[in-house]
Amino acid sequence: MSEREFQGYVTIRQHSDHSMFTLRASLASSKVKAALKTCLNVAVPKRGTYAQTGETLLAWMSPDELLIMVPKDAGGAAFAALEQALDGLHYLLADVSDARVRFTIEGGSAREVVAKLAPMDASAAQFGVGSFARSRFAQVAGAIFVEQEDRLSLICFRSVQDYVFALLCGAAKPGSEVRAQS
Amino acid sequence: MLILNCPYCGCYKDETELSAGGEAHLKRFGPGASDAEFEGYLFGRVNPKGVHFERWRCASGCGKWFHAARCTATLEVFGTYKAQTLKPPQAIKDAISAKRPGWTWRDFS
Repeated sequence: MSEREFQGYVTIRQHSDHSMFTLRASLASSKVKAALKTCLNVAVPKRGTYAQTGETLLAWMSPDELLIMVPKDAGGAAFAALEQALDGLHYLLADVSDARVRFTIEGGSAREVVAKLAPMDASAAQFGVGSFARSRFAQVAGAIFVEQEDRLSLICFRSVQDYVFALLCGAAKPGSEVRAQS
Repeated sequence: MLILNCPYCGCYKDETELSAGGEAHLKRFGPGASDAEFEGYLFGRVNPKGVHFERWRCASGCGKWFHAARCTATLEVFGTYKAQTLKPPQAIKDAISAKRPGWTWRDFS
């Protein structure tokens, strides 16, 4: 169930190579920033963006929430290190790896597939490489970020993974292009 | 369709990404208040044609509550601002005054 792929006019892939943690804490706090930098070697991202070092990724979910993605094999150690580094601060850290899934949308028209499903502005001008946004994909909530101009990642709840996969496949169906690929 | 700028996310959110939270700037009347005050707090809502202040929640975004000032007749949005305030900021009031001179809403004008 965890790895699947669909070849449409863009490629939809499901990935399960990351652990995901939710961190709720004051992102303006220098102690929180220092703890993240020490444990993960990633700076706290600015509003509406994500930051990445190697395979470790921090994404801005809200003014007091970060999504942390680390490679699965390093997940346990990273979680323990974070808990230790944040000890004594006001925070909440939860391992949500089993609650979320990640899809990638790859191809020249990846943005178009997102634009079909979400009310957000997915244009390159508003949502460039490095951007991260939470929105609604048809009937469910999700988050999306731009890794490369032709590679977008979507994160949603695991409970709606089949729905979202079907949704993405439908939007990427050959022949359903809105604009011819440039 | 209403499109509001979430002051926390800093980007435009479609009405379908938001949850409506009713009238803004309600003052709570709890224990010790008179029956009339408590009734007003629970049920007394204005329903103006024109300038209105509302609470919205960025439901499929950051999840935060914020305030919006808009016109119920034209759906024009005058501005949005954070929830941690008891009254609209002066910049919002100025923006409304520029478009709707002489406006009043509850105790604000």
